[in-house]
This record gives sequence, C-alpha cells and structure tokens, in this order.
Amino acid sequence: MTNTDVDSAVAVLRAFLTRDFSTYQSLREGLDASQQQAFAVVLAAAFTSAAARRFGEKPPAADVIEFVAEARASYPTAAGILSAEDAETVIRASTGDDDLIGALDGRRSGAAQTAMLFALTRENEAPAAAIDALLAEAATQAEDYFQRRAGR
Amino acid sequence: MSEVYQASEITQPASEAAATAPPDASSGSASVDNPGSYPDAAPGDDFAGYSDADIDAILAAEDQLPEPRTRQEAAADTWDGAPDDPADSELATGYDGDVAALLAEEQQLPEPRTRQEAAAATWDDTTPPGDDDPEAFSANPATEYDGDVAALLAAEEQLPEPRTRQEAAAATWDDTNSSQDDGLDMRTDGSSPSQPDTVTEPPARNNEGENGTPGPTEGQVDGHAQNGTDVPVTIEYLPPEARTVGDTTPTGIGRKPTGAEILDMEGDDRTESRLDRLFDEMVKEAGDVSDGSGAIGEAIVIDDRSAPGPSGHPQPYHATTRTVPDHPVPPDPGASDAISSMTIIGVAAAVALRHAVSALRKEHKA
Repeated sequence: MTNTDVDSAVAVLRAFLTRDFSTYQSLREGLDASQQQAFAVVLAAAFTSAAARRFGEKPPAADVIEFVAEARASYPTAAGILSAEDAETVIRASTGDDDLIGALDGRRSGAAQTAMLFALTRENEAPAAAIDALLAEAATQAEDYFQRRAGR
Repeated sequence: MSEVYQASEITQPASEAAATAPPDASSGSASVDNPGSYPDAAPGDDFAGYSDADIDAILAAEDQLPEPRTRQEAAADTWDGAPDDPADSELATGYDGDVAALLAEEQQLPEPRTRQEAAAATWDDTTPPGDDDPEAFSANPATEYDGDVAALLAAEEQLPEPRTRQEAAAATWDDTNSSQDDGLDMRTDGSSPSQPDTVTEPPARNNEGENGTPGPTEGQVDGHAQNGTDVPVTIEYLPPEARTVGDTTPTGIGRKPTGAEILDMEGDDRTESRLDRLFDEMVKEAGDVSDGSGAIGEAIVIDDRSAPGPSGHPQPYHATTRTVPDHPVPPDPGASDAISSMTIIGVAAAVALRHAVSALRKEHKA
C-alpha cells in the first residue's frame, strides 16, 4: 500500500462528492486491488468523520432515523437499493456503537457509507474546500492506518 | 460479733449435753419422769422422749441465752473492745465512726477539678516552671494561653513549607539525579531520564497567603475535544492538607487525573481501536465495498440528474408525485398565440417551398 494508492482513492471520492460523476465512474472502474483497499479505508474514514461531526458520539436513535429518512426521500432511486436499516447501521457503527462494526457485508456497507456520505455533504451544501478538508483528514487517517497495519 | 458466736457456743454444750444422748423415742424406751411433774401420757406432750430432767436443763439453758439484739447492737458490742469506741449515745443517734472517718478522709482530698485543669497540672510536671500555670486557667479554656501550645506552634513554624505532589516529585528527581545533572533538565528531547514532566509542573501560586499558608492554585491548559475544538481545561493544584479525609495516596507521584481526563486518555486508544476495527472490516472486503459504492453511486447520479434544481439542490421526494387533473388545463393565452403564429409561419413556409419546387421543375423541363 502506497500513498499513491491513497491519493487515487481520494481522487475517486472527491469526483463523486463534487458531483463530477463521469470522472467518478471512470476512476472508480480503473481502481486495482490495492487502490480498492485504499478507497475502502478512505471512504470509511471520511464517512466516520462526517458522521461524528453531524451526530456526535452515540446520537439518539431518532436523530439517525430522521436523517436517513430525509436522505432516502431525496434520492428515491438510491433508496430502492439501500435499505434504511443499512444506512442507520453504518451511522451508528461510526458514532460509537462498536457492536455494529462488521454487522454488514462489504457490498452493503460500501453502498450505505457512500450514500450517507453524499447525503451528509449535500445536507448543508458543503463547499469544495470543506470536502477537500474532509478528504485530506481521511487520507491522513488511511495512511496512518496502513502504516500501523504494516507494523503489525 | 465473735462474742455472739461465743455465746452460742457457750450455750451449745448444755443443749448438746441434752441432745448428745437423746432418748430414742422411736425405740419406745421409757424416759425417767419425775412423778407428777411432766406426765408422758399427757395429751400434747411433744417431748415424750425426754425426761423431765432433760426438759428442765433445756429450759435452764434457754434462760441463759443472751437477749435477742439488733445488728446495730451487735456492732456496738464489737466496738466495745476498740479504742475508737463511740459512746452509746452516739449509737442511739445512728452515729457511725466509719462514716465519720470516710467524711474526714474526703475532706483531705484535693478540690475537684476539670479535665483542662488536670491536663495543665500534668503539663506543669513536664515543663519548666513559669511556662505554664494551671491556676491561671479561667473558666473558658479556649481563651487560655498555654506555653506548651505556643511551643507546638513554634515547632510547626519550623516545618518545611507545604508543597504539592509535583514539587515533591521534582525534588525527588533532584535527589536521585543530582550526580548526573545539577538541576532540572528541561530538555524536551526526552533523552535524559531525569527530565521532569513539564506538563505536570505546577504553576506559580497566585494566592499564597502572607504567612506562607498555601491556597488552592489553578492553572489552565488547552485541551482538545473529540471534534477537534479547543477546550480550556482547568487544573487545580491543592496542598496535601487540602486532601479529603481518607485520601491516603502518597504525595510526590503526581496529580491524580480526574475522571474526564482518564476517559480522554482512554478515549484516544478506544477511538483508534474502533477505527482500526472498522478499517479492517473494510479492507477485508475492499472489492465488495468498491462494488457497492459504484452501484449506489450510479443510482445517486440518476437521482441527481433527474432532479436538477436551479441551485443544484436535489429535487424533493414529494415533488415527484404530481396530481393529474381530471380535465386538461387550457393553455394560457400567451402560449396559444405563440402556437398559432408558429403554425401560420409553418404553413406559409410550406406553401413557399412548394412553389419554389414547382418553379424549379418547370425550369428543368424547359
């Protein structure tokens, strides 16, 4: 795992969050196995940071349910793929409910985190600078994680 | 008292004399009675087994018994032989020499005194004369000046100044590392084992009393909340005397962290551990994560493109459900005018085009 892999993952996620969908689709389809790992970690790190800022530690269930309901209403096509339970699970797992970590398989977890991250950044019309800051923090966390993992 | 017993003993032989060889009444042997005196056959004679002589002896012995007397009289008889025998008139009035002696002894006892007075007398025995005078105590011990108390206070003055645990720790570092460095090593590279923890160094006391009495000291450091915001943390340094009752933690090992600080210390590790677990799960199924992200991304692209707003807001969910009126709504006048104009222009253009085509055909034939 190299920093280049992390940078590639960050580029894919930035294209998606800034609604450059054509770039996003092309970049994502071009990820190799190592870059996919970096993408998975960067996605989880960015989503965890955004969820923690939005909800705080162990938020009330009502807050999570309300947010997920509004997000699914805003994106009906995506709501047909993503269940409310999956979306609520990834939010709660990222905000202190450790028992829910690993409760979903990779595909459902990736879909839920991607959709909720998009909804979180779109909720308050986060500017590009804020998205860049979020991704920079996620990239740092991902690099630290891979360094710790290499040292195990 | 002994005389009483003696009297009894004296009289006993006479009785015994009569009783030692009593006639066996059960044996039925007849006693020797004086004729006409105590007939054994007389009704109610309980002494049928005794001879008249025996009975006379018993009665004579009874006559010799001392008169019944009270305990007081017996006690007075006892006093008769003692040199401090009180007069009989005193006995009659209930005077008791022992009671008088007890009272006289009591008169010789020292005057009753309070515990404070007794303590002062004890101090007198152990302190130089003149330093303490128990007689100078007044009714209110709290207002009393005591030279020994003053000596205790003076001894307290000579004690070292109270110091915080941090100061004690710093002093310990000094003592144990004086051979390696002369003073506190303030290097920050952490290479020296004698480097004190500058974070736990107490700030200068800002409210120390004039007599050196230490007071609570406060310091502020910058902390960081989990969301990254700066939070001022107040650290209060208290002297050892200010500890609560039952706090037996030895001084000199540093300030005890508060509960919030313990949570903060553990919080970093817990968050890191939680993130690592989350990342581990994601890495294990990175391919599926990427696929799931791609699938939901395409759906979001469709939703985003199907409802573009002027400001880029996604179209609200309820906007996709529109009610269809039962009857078509007639177009507004402006729209119908435009449509009519477009129709006329179109017809005219078609006519002109047809004429033009006809003219070209004629020229071609010609």
